[in-house]
Amino acid sequence: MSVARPAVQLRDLTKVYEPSPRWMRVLTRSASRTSKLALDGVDLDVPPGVICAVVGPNGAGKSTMFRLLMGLTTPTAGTAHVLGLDCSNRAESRRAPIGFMPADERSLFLRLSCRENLTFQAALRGYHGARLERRVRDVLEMVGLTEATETAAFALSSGMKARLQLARAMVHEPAVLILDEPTSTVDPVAADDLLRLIKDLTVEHDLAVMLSSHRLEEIDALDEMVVLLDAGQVVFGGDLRELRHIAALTEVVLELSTEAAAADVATALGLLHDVHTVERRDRIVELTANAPLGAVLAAVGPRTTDLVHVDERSSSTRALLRQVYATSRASRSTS
Amino acid sequence: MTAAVIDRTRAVGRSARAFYAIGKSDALAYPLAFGLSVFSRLTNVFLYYFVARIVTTDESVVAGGYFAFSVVGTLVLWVLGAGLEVFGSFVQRTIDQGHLELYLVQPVAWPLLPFLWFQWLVVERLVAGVATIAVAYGLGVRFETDRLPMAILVLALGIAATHAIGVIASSVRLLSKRADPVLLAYTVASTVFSGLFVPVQVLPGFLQAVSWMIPHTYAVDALRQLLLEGGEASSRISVMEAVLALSAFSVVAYTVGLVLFTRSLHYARRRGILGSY
Repeated sequence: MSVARPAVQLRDLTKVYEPSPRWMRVLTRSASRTSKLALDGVDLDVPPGVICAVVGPNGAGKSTMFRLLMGLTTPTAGTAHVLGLDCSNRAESRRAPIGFMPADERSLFLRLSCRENLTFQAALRGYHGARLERRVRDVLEMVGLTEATETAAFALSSGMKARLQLARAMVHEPAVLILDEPTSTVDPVAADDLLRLIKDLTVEHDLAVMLSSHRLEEIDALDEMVVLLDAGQVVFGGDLRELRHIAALTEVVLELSTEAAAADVATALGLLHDVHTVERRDRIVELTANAPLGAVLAAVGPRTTDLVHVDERSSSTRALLRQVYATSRASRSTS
Repeated sequence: MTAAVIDRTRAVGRSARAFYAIGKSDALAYPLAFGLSVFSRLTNVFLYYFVARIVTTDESVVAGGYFAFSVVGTLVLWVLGAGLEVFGSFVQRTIDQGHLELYLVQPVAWPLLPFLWFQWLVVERLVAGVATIAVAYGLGVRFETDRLPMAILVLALGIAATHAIGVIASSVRLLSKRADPVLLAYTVASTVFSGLFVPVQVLPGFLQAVSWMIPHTYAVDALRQLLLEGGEASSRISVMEAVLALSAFSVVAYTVGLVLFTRSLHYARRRGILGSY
């Protein structure tokens, strides 16, 4: 099987924000008096046709990564390449193959119509005349905003504004899309629609897409490549299935015939090394473990005959991420 | 090589048209507000019409009477102000509205941005300038039209010189975000010391010396000579000298301004503060 050349390639990418020098404090208030390591030696490849969800808590380095890719800041060390072009290069041609959707919907020209917003973007990217008009029409149709062509952006719903921002990022037929929290302002249904659209566009146009998100259900829905960032470091990079396999975190719900049996089982399971959490409510025992179901049942021992019902679930994405972050923080603190 | 230059020139032309169109559409999205903003700039004309009735004028320092004198001052204030506004309230608005990053990620050379942002503002201010002249005419000021092309040249050079100073100011703004000491100092100096509403001849000697460092001084002096009958009587320099001074101002200030602007952008980029507050 041939491996596609990565459209986005980060190597040992590091960014340290330095505090303002003294002379600058005369002009403006300094954001920080100490250096801040925002990205720490990040390596990442995103091939065409793949959506890479960048996930992490606030301050993890997601925005810095995107700003580096867009050329809005420069790396302290390492490199970032998009389609082989160095992102720290100042040449304007480097920005041409990237479509960018900022997190802030105010970046739209809110007083202007959808058509005018897209026309500006398309004109800057070399479209003109009938070709420009056709492209704007096609992109509005692609994102389902044909009816709103002449509607001012301020009058659109949040979901429609997000679609317009996506249309603007797509209008010049980019090879790489960078979407900074594309669903942050929209309701769950609109977010789901938007993600479906992004998935469809990714396949249809063989795009390399990087998007950041705080919504865990979206990462589940995307079912694509995930990069977990924490304190500027990649703590996991791969697909969710792989993460589940590595973490092998299982949620098990045991229903027992009596409360006494449930209490015994909870105590026995609590002693197991691979069991992370055990909770008992009446006759129900819930646990998360890095162990197969057989090992859990073996630990139940003589109380197996009191089992009424056993339910095994894949862990939720939330639990999975929490575990990965906890493990990475523990390993950082010990090192 | 030639093809590359042609392609680049075309790209600049396309960008210029796109920025002009977006500025125009944005300003005219609320036609009444646009009309009222032009009308509000006429306040000065009415104000000085009545002030002129109580001001005793000396023709050797106030050519054509105080009303005509202040009308030309108002014209220069508004039209040359475009060059300063683009880096004053406009850049601030761009940052506040979250548009700065959008502009910076376009395939447009950053040093071009000061010129691309500037276009519609100039048109807007020229509309206000024409309205000022029309109202003043209605109130009795008679303008000389023989040397109109030269007057337009002086106005254009004045706009260029103040725009170049605006580029210098924007370099500070990119780093300081809020405070803009260069623009503030220049606005105060140009309004008070350049002879827009108070003849330079009545200022103390050291302030008269300061006035020579302000492009407004040359523009307003030359325009009074070109547009008002007897304007030469109160002038301190010839039109040709004013044209040369404004040209020199533009060349020097643009050179310094564009170097500073580009350096500020790249410094802000390296520090990661582009587009932030």
